[in-house]
Amino acid sequence: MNRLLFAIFFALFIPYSAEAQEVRAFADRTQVSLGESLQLTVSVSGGDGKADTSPIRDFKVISRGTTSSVQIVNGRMSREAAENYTLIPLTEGRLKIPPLEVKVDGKIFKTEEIVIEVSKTPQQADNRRQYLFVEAQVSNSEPYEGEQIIYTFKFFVNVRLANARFQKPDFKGFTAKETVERHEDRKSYRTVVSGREYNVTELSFVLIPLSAGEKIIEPAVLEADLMMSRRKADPFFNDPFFGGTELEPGVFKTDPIKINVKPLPPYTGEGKFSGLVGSFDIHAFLENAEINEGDSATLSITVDGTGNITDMEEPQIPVPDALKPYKDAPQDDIKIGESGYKGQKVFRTALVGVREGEYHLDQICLNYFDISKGSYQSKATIPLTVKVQPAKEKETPRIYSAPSENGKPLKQKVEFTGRDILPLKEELDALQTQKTMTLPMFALLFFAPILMCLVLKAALIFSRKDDSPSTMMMRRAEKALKEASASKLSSDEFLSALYRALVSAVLSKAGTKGESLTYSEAMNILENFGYSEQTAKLASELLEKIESAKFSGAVMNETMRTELLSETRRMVRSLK
Amino acid sequence: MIRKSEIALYLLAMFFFFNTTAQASESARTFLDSTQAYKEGHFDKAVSGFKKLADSGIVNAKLFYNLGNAYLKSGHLGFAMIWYERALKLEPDDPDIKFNYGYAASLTKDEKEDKESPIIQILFFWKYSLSPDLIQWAALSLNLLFWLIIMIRIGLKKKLLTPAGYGLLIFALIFTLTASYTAYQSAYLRHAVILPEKISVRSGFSEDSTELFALHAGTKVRIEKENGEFFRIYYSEGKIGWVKKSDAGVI
Repeated sequence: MNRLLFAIFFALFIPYSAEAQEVRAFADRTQVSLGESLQLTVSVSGGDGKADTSPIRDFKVISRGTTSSVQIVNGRMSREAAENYTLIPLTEGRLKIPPLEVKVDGKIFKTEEIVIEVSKTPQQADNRRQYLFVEAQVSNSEPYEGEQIIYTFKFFVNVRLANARFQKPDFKGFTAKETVERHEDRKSYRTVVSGREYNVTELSFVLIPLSAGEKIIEPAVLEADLMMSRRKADPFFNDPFFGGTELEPGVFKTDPIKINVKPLPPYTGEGKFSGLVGSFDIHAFLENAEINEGDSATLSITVDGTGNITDMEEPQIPVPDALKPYKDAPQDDIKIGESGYKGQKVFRTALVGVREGEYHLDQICLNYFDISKGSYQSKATIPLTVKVQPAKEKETPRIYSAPSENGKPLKQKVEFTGRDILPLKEELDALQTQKTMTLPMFALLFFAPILMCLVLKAALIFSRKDDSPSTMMMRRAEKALKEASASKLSSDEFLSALYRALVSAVLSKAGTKGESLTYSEAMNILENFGYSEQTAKLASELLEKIESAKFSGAVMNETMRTELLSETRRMVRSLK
Repeated sequence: MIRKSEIALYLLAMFFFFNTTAQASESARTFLDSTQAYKEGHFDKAVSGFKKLADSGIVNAKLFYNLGNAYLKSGHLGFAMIWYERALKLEPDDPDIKFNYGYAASLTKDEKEDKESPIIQILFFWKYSLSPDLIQWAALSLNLLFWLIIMIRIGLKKKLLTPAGYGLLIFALIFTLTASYTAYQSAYLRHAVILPEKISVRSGFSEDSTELFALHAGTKVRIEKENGEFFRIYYSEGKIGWVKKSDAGVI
């Protein structure tokens, strides 16, 4: 928990430095001997990047992973990542590690060139050879194209080893596979060489050349620390228990091996060449030679032998029209060992009888190149015959009956009996381009309803402002004036309408709602809201006049009505 | 009186009409010829015809499916896979495309190492069974309905259709996020299919770089970056490297 808090503290309070990005390459030494290695480090500060080591041609490059470090100086944190490589010189002389490109956060940096002086094998390496040495050999240095050969790497050792690392060659131009799956299964034995006894470990690979021509198998490299006794140690402490040994690092490599791959002679035989190189045989087996119409017989074609049997493709099986073939996935049982690939591939085809009769299946030929004879060979299966008899349904009509409740279910799992793809789609609408919606159009259509909603909301807010008390009261005044203009109103109704119109017009100036006002209130309101004293007084007097007429109960003639209405209308309009 | 400019406009319109019609009939003839060639077992000829149509700019799942079939029958597994992939991108729920794609995938040699969890496919089933277009339109429709409800509520000043609104909001979000993720995938996550029978994946972008591992025709990889004539591809956890652009067909 405390660690976590500490980490959070650092992440939050110690800022990363804004230092410039920097890339450096350096070697642990610039003078080496053939058979020795050196360490190259490519360091990147202030960013993340990976060096491209492909321009290094004079050395074999082995990646040793990446290390990173964080430094905090004066409260500022900086990070540095280092890629480590082991370089093994391939030749002697003045070799160069060219500038390496490193892409850091999108920018390309280049390291400085490093020159390495490589001298011939020193005496020390010769001395080490008596403790450990390596060898590589191939079973055949002049194979045919497609012929499998065995590459064997042996290391002889008579001291204890630590940190052993094996780098196999690239095997460029070959397919390669180790003959054992697990490391424990590698061959190991003891032998005597030049009077010294060694433990020998063998690593074998099956190689199949992909093309003809001269090919070079690059050196295999073994890196290991030899646990040597201390030369001048105190006899008392010269014991492993007291650390009487020291680790002496060493790099041991084999010589490159030249392979001259011979092309296969031109194939002039009948049928198609299978591509197999080695020693093979072919067999055919028919599971059931007599079947009824609609039933199937399984034809198995087995190809077995030694060589590149993994490349064996399904043979062409000519079948009469009266038999419908359904191919099954091929099965193989191929093992890899000291003699290379060996095993068999089985191709099964279900033949379903379509018409009754006796049908002969042609021989199936296998044309391959026989290494031991140095020529093409052809092998064929035995001829087979299938007899299709009429379906049983014709002889004995099938009787259908409901399954008994106690009986087993009659249903069974439906399995594929053949494999093929479904047919073409022949509709001409295949020629119409399926238009897809672009991202901007999708975004536009997506945000359109949101925009509409916002517009609606804005319109409502805007219209709500018009519903202010001032507007409402002025609207009410107008409405009351319109009512008063109607000819069928009684005097009381007419005067009430005029009163309402005038009161509403005055209150609209105060911005308040209400139904009634006294004369003095009306005068005060108008004076307070900037109207002249005369206008305020006129409005007050008009209000008094209307109220008096209303409460006196006097009957108003048409002339009086018209005058009072005109006067009120003028006042209301002057107050707008 | 008809002016010269009107006559010229009329002739131009006629030219475009007949030109378009002629192109359409030419395409139809090529399509029918290719279909016939396929049925007669001339698969290379069928490939050539369907490819010509695809190269002319027609983007259609059925055409891509037919091209995949023709390539598969002519023995080009890598090219078949890439056209099936392109067809599935347009119509992920088409049963014919899925069936033939599955068949072609069973013929590839490289074992798939980074397998997508079936739980993910069950949880996000709509992404795997609906076409990107359908997902986009579903997202837009649900979004429109949701905002219509909001507008009705604002207009009437009443809290109406609350449960329906929540339901629509959830589905609109699901489909919108799916459509956005699909758009992101097609814009930034590029995939490719290995085309030749076998290629070497190398440590650098040059022919003599170390071979790290080999891939075979039909294997699907992710393109991480490109440099000149090379793609850096990701096959599975820890298996990355450089391949030539001509060896990998971008889906």
